[in-house]
Amino acid sequence: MKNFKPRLILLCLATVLTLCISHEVAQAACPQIEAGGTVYGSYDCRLTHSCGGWCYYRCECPTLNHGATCDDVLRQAGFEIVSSPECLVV
Amino acid sequence: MLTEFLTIAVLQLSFGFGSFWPVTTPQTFQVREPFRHAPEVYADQLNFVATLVNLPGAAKKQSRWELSYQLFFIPEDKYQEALKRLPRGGSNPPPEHFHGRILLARGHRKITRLGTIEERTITLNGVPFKQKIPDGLRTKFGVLMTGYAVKIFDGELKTTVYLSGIFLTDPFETDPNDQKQVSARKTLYLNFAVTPDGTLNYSQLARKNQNTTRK
Repeated sequence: MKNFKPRLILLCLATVLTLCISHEVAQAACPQIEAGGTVYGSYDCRLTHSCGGWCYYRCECPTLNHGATCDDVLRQAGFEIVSSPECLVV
Repeated sequence: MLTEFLTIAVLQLSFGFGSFWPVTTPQTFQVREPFRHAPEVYADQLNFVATLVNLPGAAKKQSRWELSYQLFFIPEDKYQEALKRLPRGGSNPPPEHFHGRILLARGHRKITRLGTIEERTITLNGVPFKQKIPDGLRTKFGVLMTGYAVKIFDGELKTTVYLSGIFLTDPFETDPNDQKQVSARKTLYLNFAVTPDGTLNYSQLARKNQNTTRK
């Protein structure tokens, strides 16, 4: 019985933590900003839409290293370059 | 000996041709002109159009759509500062992350009749924009931000979908046929669609078919 109180507190903390994490996961389906740098230059990508489980961004490259293109930067950062977004009905 | 010589010659020739032959086709991308004063890309007024494009239970009485929205302008220098404070890679900052933001409009709507696309569209016209931005801050790469929180109950799927977040965009629009031609952005869009499996698609792009009545 004397261990009941600490166990209850621990259980409450765990519940709150789980709810917070699940709430964040539910909200963070697509990052709204993807920004950073690669060996080719820097990138600033903003979410334009999310559909079919994909996140679509419009990107700019504020800095480009000599000879590199923005496509180089984005590919290095892990983006797939698509010309016309799919499921644009939304 | 002859084989080695030929190999070197072929490699030299390959290098020589390669220098004159472009390996990749020229790419078009946007080069940012930092802090370029561009008052011409700031519209006098903005319109805001939020649409719940698809909802499986649109015809059901129990279906509900609740939307809170805030429209902001973020000066270019403040946006850059905020970007530096973000972790590398992906992030979901709240509107409060952007210090120095200027509130343009805010509102809250709850809609209980969702049968037609018109009923599922919230329109706000004539939001003062240019006059609210000091002239020195009217740079080409200032940022328009839409903050939103949405709650949708679908009466057919018997499920509630929540989402909150931001969309960021430029104060100008680019001509799709000529990337160098820009004009003042006049409308901010916010679109949502609940799929038959209950997931939520969302977008800040103008819908291609404005007259769609898909549910």
